Formats: sequence, structure tokens, C-alpha cells
Amino acid sequence: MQHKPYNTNKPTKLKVIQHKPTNNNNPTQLKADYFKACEHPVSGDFRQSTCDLTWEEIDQEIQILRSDLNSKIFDDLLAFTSSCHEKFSLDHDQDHKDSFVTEIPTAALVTGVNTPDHGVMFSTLVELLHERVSPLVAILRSKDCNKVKNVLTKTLGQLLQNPDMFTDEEEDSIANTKNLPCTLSTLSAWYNTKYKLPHSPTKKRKSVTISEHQRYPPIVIVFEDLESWVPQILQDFITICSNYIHHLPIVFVFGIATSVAAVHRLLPNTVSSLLCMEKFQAPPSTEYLTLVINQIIMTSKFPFKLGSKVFQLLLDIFLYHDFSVLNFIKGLQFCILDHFFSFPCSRILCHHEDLHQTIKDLKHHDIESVRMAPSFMRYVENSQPKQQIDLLENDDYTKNIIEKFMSQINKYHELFFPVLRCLHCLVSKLPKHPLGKQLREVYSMTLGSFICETEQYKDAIELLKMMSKDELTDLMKASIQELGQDLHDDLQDIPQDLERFLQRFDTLHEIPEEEEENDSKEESTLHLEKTDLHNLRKKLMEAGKKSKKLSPYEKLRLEIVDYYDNVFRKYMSCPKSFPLHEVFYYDSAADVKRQLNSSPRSAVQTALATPHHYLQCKCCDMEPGIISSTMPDLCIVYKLHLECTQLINLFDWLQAFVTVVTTGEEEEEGKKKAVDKVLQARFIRAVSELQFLGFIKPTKRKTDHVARLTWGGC
Amino acid sequence: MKIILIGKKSKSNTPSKDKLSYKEDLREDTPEVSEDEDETQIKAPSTLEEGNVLVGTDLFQFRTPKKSGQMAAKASESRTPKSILKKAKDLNDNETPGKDKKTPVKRKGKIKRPEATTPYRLRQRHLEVSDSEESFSSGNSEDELDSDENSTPSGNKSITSRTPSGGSKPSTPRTPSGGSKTPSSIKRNRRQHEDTVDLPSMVQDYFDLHSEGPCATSDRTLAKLGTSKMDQETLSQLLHKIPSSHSKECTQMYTEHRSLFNQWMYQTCNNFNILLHGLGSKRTLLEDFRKTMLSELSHVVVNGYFPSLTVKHILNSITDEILEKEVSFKGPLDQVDYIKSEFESKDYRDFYLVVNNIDGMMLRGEKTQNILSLLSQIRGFHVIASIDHINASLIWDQSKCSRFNWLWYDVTTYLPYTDETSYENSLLVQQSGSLALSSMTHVMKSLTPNAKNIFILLTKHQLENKDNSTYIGMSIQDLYQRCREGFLVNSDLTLRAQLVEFKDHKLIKSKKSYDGIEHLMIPIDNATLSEFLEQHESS
Repeated sequence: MQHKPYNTNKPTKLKVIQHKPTNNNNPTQLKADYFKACEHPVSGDFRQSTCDLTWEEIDQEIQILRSDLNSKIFDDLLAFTSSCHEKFSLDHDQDHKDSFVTEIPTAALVTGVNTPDHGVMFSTLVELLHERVSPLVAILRSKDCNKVKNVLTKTLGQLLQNPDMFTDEEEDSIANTKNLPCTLSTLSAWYNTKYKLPHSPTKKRKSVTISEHQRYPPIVIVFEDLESWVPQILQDFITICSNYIHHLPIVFVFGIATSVAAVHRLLPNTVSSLLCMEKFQAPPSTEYLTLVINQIIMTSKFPFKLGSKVFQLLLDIFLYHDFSVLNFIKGLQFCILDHFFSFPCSRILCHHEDLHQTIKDLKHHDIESVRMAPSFMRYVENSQPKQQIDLLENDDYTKNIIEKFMSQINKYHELFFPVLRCLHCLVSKLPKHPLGKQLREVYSMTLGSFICETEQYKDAIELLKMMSKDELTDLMKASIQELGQDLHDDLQDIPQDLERFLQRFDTLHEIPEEEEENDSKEESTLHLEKTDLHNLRKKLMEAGKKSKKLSPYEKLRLEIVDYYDNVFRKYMSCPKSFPLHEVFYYDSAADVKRQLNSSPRSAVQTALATPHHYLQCKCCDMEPGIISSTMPDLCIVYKLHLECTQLINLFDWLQAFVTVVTTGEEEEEGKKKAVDKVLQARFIRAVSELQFLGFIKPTKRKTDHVARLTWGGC
Repeated sequence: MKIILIGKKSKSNTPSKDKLSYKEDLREDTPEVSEDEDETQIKAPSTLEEGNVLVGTDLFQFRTPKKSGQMAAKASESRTPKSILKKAKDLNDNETPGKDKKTPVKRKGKIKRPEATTPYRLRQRHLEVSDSEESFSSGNSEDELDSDENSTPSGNKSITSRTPSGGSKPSTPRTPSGGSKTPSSIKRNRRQHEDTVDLPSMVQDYFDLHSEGPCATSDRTLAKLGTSKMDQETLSQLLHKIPSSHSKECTQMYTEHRSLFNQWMYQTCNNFNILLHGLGSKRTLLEDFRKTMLSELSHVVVNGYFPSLTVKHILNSITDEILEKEVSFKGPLDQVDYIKSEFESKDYRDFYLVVNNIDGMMLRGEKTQNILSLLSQIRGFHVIASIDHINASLIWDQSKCSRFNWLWYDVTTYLPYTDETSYENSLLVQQSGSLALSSMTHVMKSLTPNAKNIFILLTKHQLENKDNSTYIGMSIQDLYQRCREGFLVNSDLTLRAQLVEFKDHKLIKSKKSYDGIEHLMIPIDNATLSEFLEQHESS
């Protein structure tokens, strides 16, 4: 290890400390060290590995989801790129003229506004294009391409120096290209020599790679972020390319974040007429999110769960801030890390299969940490005195109880999610969507409280009770499907019961309906009588009050809805009602918000306006508007500056500052001068700090004035 | 009741709470969400707003419609009640009227303005209200203006309308005692809150605000103080003596922040990067962190507030001193690629980049941040940075933010920004020239011996003429002549080529004299120059 000498007193730009990597710098080892260093030393090791494991599993699942999600659109896109130049030929003598493409085939890939996610998407796309369509793929980003020359260099660089193409023979040509001018005619010549001869030795040698593609592999140029291109450059490049379309099978792929109209905004008619565009709509990020939530969070596969507040917060960040699934996943990762890091009782979180072993391995301090969990303490309080002693002192007994609770929650999860899907299926299409349109909305409600007690749920049930027969049977069929095949034993009966109900619909007409005549009679009398509005209303009210005899259909409907209601009440209890739910559910939303969605400006301004909030001292505990001499200087100066308009007179400011800080007694004449000097220094410091924070800046509009950079006061 | 009149400012962000304080005469049923019929209604993201002490409406407000005397008034209000009257009077006497030439009498009225619009009965009560409450009300007037979107401030409402007794009529005409047609009193009345939307008056207020002209401040300057500007050194000496307020609480906070170190290390190991924000210098904390946690790991500390820092320095220090490679690069992006490949091709190794003030002057640029964000993505590369500027988060767009993968930590310390602000050109501080000196030496280091000597020549000449008040610089012919004599250049052209370097660094200024001859001058005061010369000769 060597230390570079540096002097701490002098202002330095950089300090470099170099350490030769030593053997124990193994990352996992380090992680474990930090974990151990936190307050719960012994269980840390295990928790840390569980944490890594949990995250790895989830991460893997997400990777799979991502590739599945885009597979359809990519397949389409790949088919498009490989088919659009099928008739391309370099043999101009032959009679192929009419089959030539005159416009550049262009795929407009509409990707959505969640730009951070795009990087991954495009790299997968390019990879796939490479594998399946053509070795000639170039990807262009606007940041590298601020001149047409750069665009061409980038394109040619990527096309010619393709690692697939390296053979002894071509290395020469590549070496040559460095000296060649970077133009498309170079490319065209290169393409010609490479692919023209039908029985060239190249082909034989690389028959494996080439034969997979067509004889003339298209040249695919991908524009990752079309909107941020300089229009002129894009136009020039397209025009140049279109001149070579007879010699080079060029295909464009435009990555568009907003809408296809952006192309027309960027390109004038003369240029866009050179393109033959086809639109490909990538699945919106909300769809991806739904997939992630359904497969990762709303499943009993992973024991780790998000609590209601955290879940809602992550959703809100997604919906109101960035539409980026990547960030959502990062949020999820943060939650997992924090869960294992800060909650010692997360030690016992594991898959159902490993539960017994995990519990067996628990040490005394682990059990102590579980005993500290609030929900467990609540359970202890409510149990019998004798049991209480056991729970608190007998480790073996507690282990059994813990195992019991854990498997209880595990079982609850297994039963919960199918039923949740069933509920969502019933309520998602109701008018006004009392429980939301998305599955995640229903889920978020069940996380927060026992859903069957909420107003929205009651509304939904009321609405279900007014369904027509067709609607209801459709819903029931859908819900049976939603429940699926491989159900937990406890749920096996539900689809069967529902089937039975459905069968009863078929036999409904066989039941005699005496009541109906009665009703129709009444109705007809209503129509016959001439009556004014007031009377009519009265009559209708009376009619409403009369407990109507239900038709057989209505009876059956009631029965079905009640059946559903019972199922929901049985299986959809709020997770918070279980003891030891803290082990599974991470719900410290405040932490997540502070760390992921923090607002630095509000922190600074809170610190300035209400120092008590941070300092927690007695002297500054007052309403935000008041200035007190005990506050830090910076706060006083800040609060005074709020009283000013755009410009602040420094002299007046200083005077005001002195006025606030000094108390009457200090105004003895003799002292005044010295005090002033110190006060001045304090004032200067505070003002330059405000300047550093960006509240004011020096101005030349008036002598000894500064300009405010913020508006309003606090 | 009195407090109700003035309008209680509640800390919470829900508008309804504000309204409750004078609900007697106001409708209290303003529904937060206009429900029904609209299927696509949008719920407010409740979780995002929760837990903030200050909400958006408090942070981002309209311009303060206040006048010049306000600060002094506020200050005097905040004093101990005993000395208030005297001081306020003093201030009034001192004050020379601003642009709009108000007579001292009017000024006086302004300080007492709350009374002018208050009926006698209420005025009596007002006098009983302690000063603190008074100041509190004036301080909050703007808040209320914006914090509640349902209620629009209306200038012409009198205080009586908010008393519970006069409750039922929300828009009583102005009381006669108000007698205030002046724009100032209208503005003053803004703090009175009405929920009736009174657009015309709001428009009026807007134009009043803008018709004032920019300078409503007094004309006094710092010269009145009678003391000369302090230089950096005396300032720091003076400040050193002052005991910092709340040191106990600050230490307590600091220890709390320290306890997060392990967590930060753990999170950085999991590919998150740490960003510290909050009021107060975070240098000490980061230094502490570096010493305790990073002593075994290689790391680079960057002081982003340093005025001549560039991203190239950072990259070079990584390639030269951490990777210990001597390679030349086409550009910073190329260098980043190289670092990336170096880090990812070998065994995993941790590297920490500690950045004090990643929002510093020299790092703010889009390109710089782009490079830093790319660095942060390299495997094993961890960034721990701090920000201080209130708009700092604007330097990252969505993709950079997601590359950085920040975890934000609020580490308010209330420590003074001693090092950070020593570079800011504060108006009140006499510039010592030490900065110019350091930049001069810095430039000098990168020069060829010939170029150095040219500059020394110029410096000496300028110092020789330091008593000449009409000195406009050394003429270029003169300089050329002397340079030739010293074998420094061989043609006029080479001399000019050498001078370009200095001009680029703003170390020399060229000026044409009346006869058209170019003169060269070093725009740095003589004391600094002679110090520079000494330093140069001693080295």
C-alpha cells in the first residue's frame, strides 16, 4: 500500500489514494463485513446471504420477463428487416430493375417516454439483429453524431469493423478503410467486393455464418433517439443513403420516444418521401410494470413482499415521475436491501421449503430479535399469562410458535393471490371502478386494510348484485379461468362450486315464476293513471319500500354474490393482521421516500426556515415566520432576505441583521465598534453561504446590492 | 381569536387545515377532488407529498410583493420588545426614501401599516398582541397566498370580514379607516385570505407589482459603514473566535450521520451510489467517512468547488495514479471507455470516487456530468458525492439520474461552508488575490521555459512601472525587442503564438493606445504580482 503525499491545509482539487488490491478485497466478503458491522453482528452474515439470494432470484425472473415482453415486437421487427430487401441484387445487368426498392425501408419503433429503459432495449435489439438478420448492424446515438461526417464515420466504423467479418483476407481491407474516405461509396465498393461473387471463396469459408442469412445481408442502421438528432444532419444522411439504395440494401430503424409525428416534424416532405415507413409499437412501460408486479410482487413464489405504503410510493414514483420500470426495479432492490439490513427479524425470511431448517438453526439472539417484532409482542400481550412466560423465555417453544406463524403466512400467500385475481376479474369492469381498473390497485387496497370492510368493496358488491344474467355468467366464467388449474387444496372447491352455480342458470327457466305477473300488473296500473310528478314519486317510493319478491334469477344472483363475498372474506384478510408479518412485508415508506425520491431543496429550505426541525433545540422552537436571535446566523440572514424584492441592499441587510442579533444591553457605545466587526464577519459569512446555496447572486445593477434568485417568502 | 384574525399558518400541506382556522364565515366543504362522472379523474399522488415539512407551493412561489422598508421592520419586530420602538424609529430616520420619493411621514406610517387598515377596536387588540405574533403574520402573508389554490388573495378585503362577528358576509367593503388607496396598503392586505375568486384584483396586483420598477431599495451603500472591506484572512480570524451556535445539537446530528457509514458502504457495494444533501458543509463528514471506511480501498477525492477543476483532472488522476498507465486519449469519452475496460477486464476491484460538491461550478456542465455518470456505471466503481445548490438536482436528466443510481441522504449539519465559499467572489470581501496567484502558478507550470520567461519579462516591466499611474502596458514592439534580446523568440509570429496562451487564460489584456500600438497588461494588482515573482524566483 502506498500513500500519495498530500497536504490537507492547502486547497486541493484532488486527492488520490491508491491501494493495491489485496486478496481479501473480494466483494461479497466486503459486503458481509459492512453488514456485520451494523448493530446486529451475528445474524448479519446469514441475513446478508439471504438478501443476496432473494435479489438474485428476483433479478433473474425480471430478466426473463423482459426478454419475453419484447419478444413479439422484436420478432416483427426482425421479420421486417430481413424481408424488405429480399429481391435485392447486385447483378444490375439482369432484368431486375422493376423489383428494386426505391424508398428506404424504415421501421419506426415507438418506444415510449421512459428513456432510461431504452438503452437495454436497444442493445438487445441490436444483438438479435446481429444474430438473426444480418452481421451488418450499426447503432447511432445523437450524442455521437453532431456532424454528417461523424455519422458516416460511426456507421462505417461499426459496419466494416464487425468482428464477425474478420478473416485474413479482410483484415487488409479493413486496414485500408482507415485511409479511405469515409463515404458510402466506400461502403458500397466494400459491399460489392464482399458479396457480389456468387461463388467467392469467402462464402465457402464462412458458409456457416453467411448461409444463415440471405445472400445479401441488409445493412441495418438503428437510430436510438431520433428526437434528439439535429434535423439538418438527419436529413442529409437520409438523402445520402437514399442515393445508394440501389447498391446497398439499407434498412433504418428509428427509435421514437413520442409519436410517429416526430418524424414529420424532423424531416421535410422531400426527405420523408424517401422513406417507406412501417410503425412498430413497443409495449408501453405500464404493461411491463404490470407484468413485473404480477410476476414478482403478487406471487407466493418470493417470500419478500412490499408493504402497502411502500408499494403505493413506488407506484406513484413510476406513474407521476418517470414511467421507468428500471427505476421501479431499483426501488424494489433498495427495499430488499434495506429490509434485510435494518430489520433483524428478517433473519427468518426464507422459502417455504427451507422454513423448518431455518427455524431450527436459530440462535438465541435471533429469537430475541423476533420477540422484539411489534406484531409478535402484540400476540404475547394477548395470550395467556402462562404462555406469555413460555413465549418470552422458552426458546424451543418460541421456535415452534414462530414456525407456526411463518407457515400460516406462507399458506395465506398461496391462497391469497388466486383469490385476489378472481376478485379483480369480477370488479375491474364495474361502472366507476370502485376498486380500480388494475390488479395492482386492488392489491394495494388489500395490503392497507381488510378490503371487505372498505366502502369501495361494499359498493362493488352492491354493483355485482345488479348484474344482468349474461354479464354475471361471463364474469363467473372468467373468474373460474382466473383461478386456474393447479390450485391449493383449500381452493379446489371454488371452481367446482362456481360451475355448479353456472349449471343452475341453465335450469332457471324451469322454475315457475308466479311473481312476475303480479309485478307487471302493478306496472301497468302505474302507467294507466294520470298523475302528477309529486304523486308519481310518492308511489314509486312506496313501491320501492315494499320488499319485492325476488325472481329466481335474482335469488340465484344473490346467492352467488354472497358466495363470492364469503370467499373473499375468508381469504383476503389484511396481511397486517398476522403476527410476524414484518418478516415478509417491508413497509418503511419514509425511508424509501427519503432515499429514492428526496427533495434536496425542501430540505435546505426547511433547515433555513425552521431550524428547530433539525436542531431540536428549545430556543428555536417557534413558528416558521419568526426570527429569533438564537437561530443560526444563516437562518436569520435567510429569513431577512425573504422580505425583499429582486434586489437587496447589503447595507440595509447588514443593519437588519445587527438589529436582530444584538439585544438592547449590548449597545453600549464603547463596545459597539468591536462588536460590529465581529457581526460584520458573521454577516459576510452568512451572505456568502447564501450565495453558495444559490439564493442570491451579485449584481451590477446598483452598487452594493445583490439579486435574489428565488421568489416569495416562507 | 386574534390569532385567527391574522390567519394561522399551519405547517401541514393540506389546504383544508388552513381553512379551518377561519372557517366560521368561509365555506369549509371545498371538496378536494371533484368526484363523479369523470372516469379518468386523477388521484393526487399522496405518498409523494407526505412527510415533507415544506411542500412545493412553499418552495416555489411568486415574487414577493414587498417594499423596501420591510426588512428593517421585520428585523425590529424580531427584537426583544424592549428596544423595539427606539430602534424602529432609528431605522426610519436613517432611511432615505427609495425611488418613489416617499416622505418620512409616509414611511412612518408604513411601519405601522397594519394599524392603518384595522378598525379601532381591533387595533387595540393588535397592540396587545406581542410583537412576535405581529411579525409572524407579515412573514406569512405570501405563504398563504400560494399555499392554497382555492383561495385567491384579494386586496380589497378589510380585516373586519374575518372576525367571527362580521362573519357571514365575506366581502364587506373596505372600512373607512382603511383609507388606503396606495398600492402599498393593498399589497399589505394580501395576507387576508378569501376564498372567493377575485380575479380582477389579482390581475391588478400583478401589474402593481411590475409597475414598481426594479429598484425599490434604498440608495445607501456599504461605504456608510465607515469600515473598509475585510479580506479573507481577517474574516476567517474573526470567525474563528466566534463560538458556533447550537454546537451541541450539531454534534449530535453529526454523530447520527456518522452511524450511517456502514449502511452507505453496504449500499455502495450493492451498486447504489450515495448522494448527500442538506444544509451545511458536508466536507467534514465526507472526510471522516473517507478516513474511517476507505482507508483500505483506493479512492480519489474531488473537491468540486475548486475553481479550476476540470473533468480531465479527475480522469487523469484515475488513469495515471490508480491504474498507473500512461496512455494518451482522444477525448474524455475515450478515456472513460479505457477506464471501463481496465476495470472490467480484470478481477473485481472496488474504487471510490468521493466528490465534494458534485454540483460545483466546474462540474455543472452537461458533458462533465455525463462523463461522471458513465464512470459511475463501471463495475466496482462507487461514487459518494454531496450537493449544496438549491437547484442542484437540475443538472441531471432522467437518463443520467438513472445511470448514477443515487440514494439520497439528508445530512443537514449546519456547519459553515468555510472552504467551499472561500472561492466565491463575495461582494463584501476584499479579494486577496490568492486565487489569481494560484491560477497564475498553475498556468505557469504548463508552459515552456521560453513562454515563462516572456511572462516574467512582462511582469517585471509592469512592476517597474507600478508608480506610473498612466501606465497602459508594455507595447508589443518593445516586448518583441526584449524577447529577441533574451533569445526567447525569433519572430513576431512566434511571440504572438506564445501570447495566445496567456490571453486564453486571461492573464494578459491587450489594449490599443491612441496611436494604434498594441499594449499588453497583466490585469492583476501589483502586490499579487510581486508575490508571484518572488514565488517564481524561489522555486
